[in-house]
Amino acid sequence: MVHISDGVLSPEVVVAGWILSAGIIAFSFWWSSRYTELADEMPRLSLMTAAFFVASLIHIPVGPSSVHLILNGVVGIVLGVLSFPSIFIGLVLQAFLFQHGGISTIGINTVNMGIPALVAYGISKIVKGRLHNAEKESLIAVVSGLSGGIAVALAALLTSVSLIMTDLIKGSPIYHDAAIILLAAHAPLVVIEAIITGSVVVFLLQVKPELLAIARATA
Amino acid sequence: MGERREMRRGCVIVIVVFMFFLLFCFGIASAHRIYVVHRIADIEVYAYFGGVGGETPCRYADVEVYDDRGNLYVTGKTDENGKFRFSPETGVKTYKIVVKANLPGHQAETLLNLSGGYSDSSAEGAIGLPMRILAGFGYLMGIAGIAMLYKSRKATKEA
Repeated sequence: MVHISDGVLSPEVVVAGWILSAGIIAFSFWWSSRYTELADEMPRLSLMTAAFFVASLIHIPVGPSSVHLILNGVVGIVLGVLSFPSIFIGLVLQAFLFQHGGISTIGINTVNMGIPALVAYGISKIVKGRLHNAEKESLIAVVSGLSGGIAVALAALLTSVSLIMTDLIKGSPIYHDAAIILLAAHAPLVVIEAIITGSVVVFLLQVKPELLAIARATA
Repeated sequence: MGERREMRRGCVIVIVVFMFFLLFCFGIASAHRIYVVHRIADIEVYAYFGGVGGETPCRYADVEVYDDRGNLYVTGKTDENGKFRFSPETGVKTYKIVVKANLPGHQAETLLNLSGGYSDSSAEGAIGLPMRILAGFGYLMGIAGIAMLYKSRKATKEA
């Protein structure tokens, strides 16, 4: 549902999506190359992209429609700023291999799912930084879970905004109802992804904390 | 001791990842998209969302039926079981049925040929979903592989 198909959005929104996503991808590579060797990050990035890539196949019936897992919160918390290019790669593969989401809309879809991933990372990172205490593992998990939920809610919100922007540009409320349904349909998914994100973070904190971007000193 | 525990944990992670991989390889019928199938009776159209855990009927979705000249013949909505029925016009053998779910971007269509009997939009494409998933994983492993190759070259040069 947060994967917008071809021919739905107005060209202005599509172009703005490509420009924004290209800018953020460039920024995230630049930012993380300041702190880490990019080549070292690639296996981790590929693994998380693989998870993101197949997550969209798991769908949950909601009312008359169905929503699918997005996992952008998990990707954000594990990869940090590199979650944005990861989501871009995942969406390219989904569009070409599953015909899931349009090809012209990969840019705007990346923005809609990638920015919430960065927000989830930001929230978890800031809270983690404030704690300075290894015993607060459960608290970190709860905060990560919440930010995972926020990531989904924000993705649905940004998708609705893209649809409403299209309405405004075209001057007719074609997608107004769809935008509201889309928000409502994602409410259960917010809870589900919050639980998934929290569980993943608990697991990784215990087993391999260095995998988590939020648990490392830099980016 | 610590090192062995670390190794065991590493093994566990690899096994868990592999099991997930197997799950995705064999468990999935189809992607999250709408498929439309129909059978000749009156004419019954059935639309559903595919995905893990079987089919979810595409309820109360808009249906548009076009005749062989591309004119809109009949419109309606699917019922709570994702089904829609209409009577074919005599003499018109082919119809295009378009189903639009009440969320943007979820739309599918199928061509109905009354002399053909049965059509299924989900049968399109020779490559099955498990193969598509494998293909995706292949690309991603390629990205990781190129990065590792670059790393090892750099390490050899420095040494």
